[in-house]
Amino acid sequence: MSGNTSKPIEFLHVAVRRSFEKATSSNTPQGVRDNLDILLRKLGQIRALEDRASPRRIGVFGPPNRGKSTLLNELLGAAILTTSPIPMTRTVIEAHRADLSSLNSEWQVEVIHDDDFINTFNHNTPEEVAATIQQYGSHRSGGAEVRRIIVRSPFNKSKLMERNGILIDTPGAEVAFEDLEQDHSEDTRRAVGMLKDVHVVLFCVRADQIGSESERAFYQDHMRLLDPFNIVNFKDTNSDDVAVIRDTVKHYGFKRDRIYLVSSRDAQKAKSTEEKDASGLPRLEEAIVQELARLTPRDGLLCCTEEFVSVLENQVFAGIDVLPEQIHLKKVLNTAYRSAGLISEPTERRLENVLERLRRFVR
Amino acid sequence: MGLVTIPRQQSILFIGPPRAGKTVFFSTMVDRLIRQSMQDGTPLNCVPEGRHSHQFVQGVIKSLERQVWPKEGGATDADGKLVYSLTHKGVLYDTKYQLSCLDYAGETFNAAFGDPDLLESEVDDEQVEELKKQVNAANVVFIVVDAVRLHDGASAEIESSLFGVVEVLKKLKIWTALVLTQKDEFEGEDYEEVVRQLKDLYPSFFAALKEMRAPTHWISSVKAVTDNQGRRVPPKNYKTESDSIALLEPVVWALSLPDSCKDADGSKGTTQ
Repeated sequence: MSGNTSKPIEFLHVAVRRSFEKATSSNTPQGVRDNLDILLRKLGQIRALEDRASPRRIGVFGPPNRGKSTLLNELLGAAILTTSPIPMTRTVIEAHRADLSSLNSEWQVEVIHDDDFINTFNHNTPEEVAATIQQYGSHRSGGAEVRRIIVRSPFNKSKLMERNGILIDTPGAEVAFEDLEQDHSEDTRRAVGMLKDVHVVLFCVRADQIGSESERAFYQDHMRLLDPFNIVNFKDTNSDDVAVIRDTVKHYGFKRDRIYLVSSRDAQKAKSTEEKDASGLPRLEEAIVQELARLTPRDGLLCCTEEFVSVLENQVFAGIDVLPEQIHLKKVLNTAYRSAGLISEPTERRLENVLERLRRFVR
Repeated sequence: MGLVTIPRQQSILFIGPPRAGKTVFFSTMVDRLIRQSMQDGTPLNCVPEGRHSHQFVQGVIKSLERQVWPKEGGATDADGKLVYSLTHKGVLYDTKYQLSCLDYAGETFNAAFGDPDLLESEVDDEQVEELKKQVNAANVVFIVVDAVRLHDGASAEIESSLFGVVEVLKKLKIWTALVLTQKDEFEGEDYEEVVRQLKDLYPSFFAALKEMRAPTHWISSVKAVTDNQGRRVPPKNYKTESDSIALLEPVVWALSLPDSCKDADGSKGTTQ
């Protein structure tokens, strides 16, 4: 199936690129350019994933003390990251799903050093994993010499890991948030470099600490065009959800439909499904699962075409011209129609509907 | 080799509106001709006239091999005329052709042949005069046009200049052909239907071409591929032989024209 849907995705990528080039060479509003830029990145990821059939990488990003480790532990379904109020890791930590049959024990930790030397540890409990990460990922224990730590396990309790995800904790740029006066470009560059290969970006801030200028600048400079999930953690500290959303939109410039209010510590303490739901974590998890599905050619074609058609429809109202050449639109239409019959019925109807909207732009 | 070489040069000129792909088409075509010249038994021999032409074309080809369009790689910085000589080895005599591509700013074309009221940018008057002079002296003229832009609905400025140049060529009775580029972008489409659409979009231009019995050659200098950013770029390790479409079709047509029409003694195009 992927072979049959690859062409429309490629043609859509070309059409969006042509629109983006048209937008950048004219006086098109920044918002339109950003939307096209985000769409280009998504299409590039879908095509690359299709070629390599590699796992989807989910990266968590944000300043220290935003509850990232607790959040990650909840998403992984195992407490392998130390939830300390003192920032300790500067090393990238990746969680990979592995069959038990391929491991010597339930938990395998690979510590990769800068000189490519690898220490492998076999553990039986998450606590042992956490201790190893703390030992090798910490500043104080010479963590700067460790490039990466990979934890392999079946991760049977994690929906995201079940879907071939790789969860990545990307510390290291914390200092970039601390003091804008100092040059932290190396840390920032390293952290942003990590994000280039991440398919789904989770950006964490706190509900009770909205307003940091360095956070805002970092979001605008490095996060905005990655279209992250904007996670406002510690929602339990503020009872007015509407006000929190309004403040984050106003202060950071978050996209309203990408804001998720969660309380990772409530999720950690939850004893019932209702309590878990109230923490906001299941909703976030479901949204990430849907985002992972969009990275396939089949669902990606539908979602990206819908977003592109919205841009084209909006440009008509805004009186701007970002329409790509006719032949590029025709090729999307012709090939996408051919692939429509290959996909499930409700999705097919949605695709046909959006293609009809796209057809209005073709002579 | 023939017994004699006809000393008179037959001038074949390549012109067209801005960003039509003239430079890439000319460069890839002569590269293909040169490589073909080296094969045993071929009746054609193509060589650059002067170091500038050689270096310029080499720069374009090297750029394409690096998957970079020449403009991005800065290969089109040089100015002046690209000239290659093409010798056709006949049984009785050899005929020498001069292939020329004027490396003028594309807007010059619109200024020379279009409606002055539609001009969108300033142009160099000397370049305009030089272009008109070259057209006047040519035996065969290829009008190179980007099929993607034409199909999309070219600007009024380009449309006006395309019609204008055909009018001039008709009066001068010069053999003319239309070269559409970027055929690869229409892969999977019904080519004949696309041409019908073009005729429908530009009826006066195509009617004038028909009156002159000017054929349309649809080529691709480079069969582009889509990179990971969604850009159409030359394929990896680009080769003119395998990664182009119908590249030599226009020049082969020019070589097949009756001798009387290729005469450079001032009595051009009498049999048209």
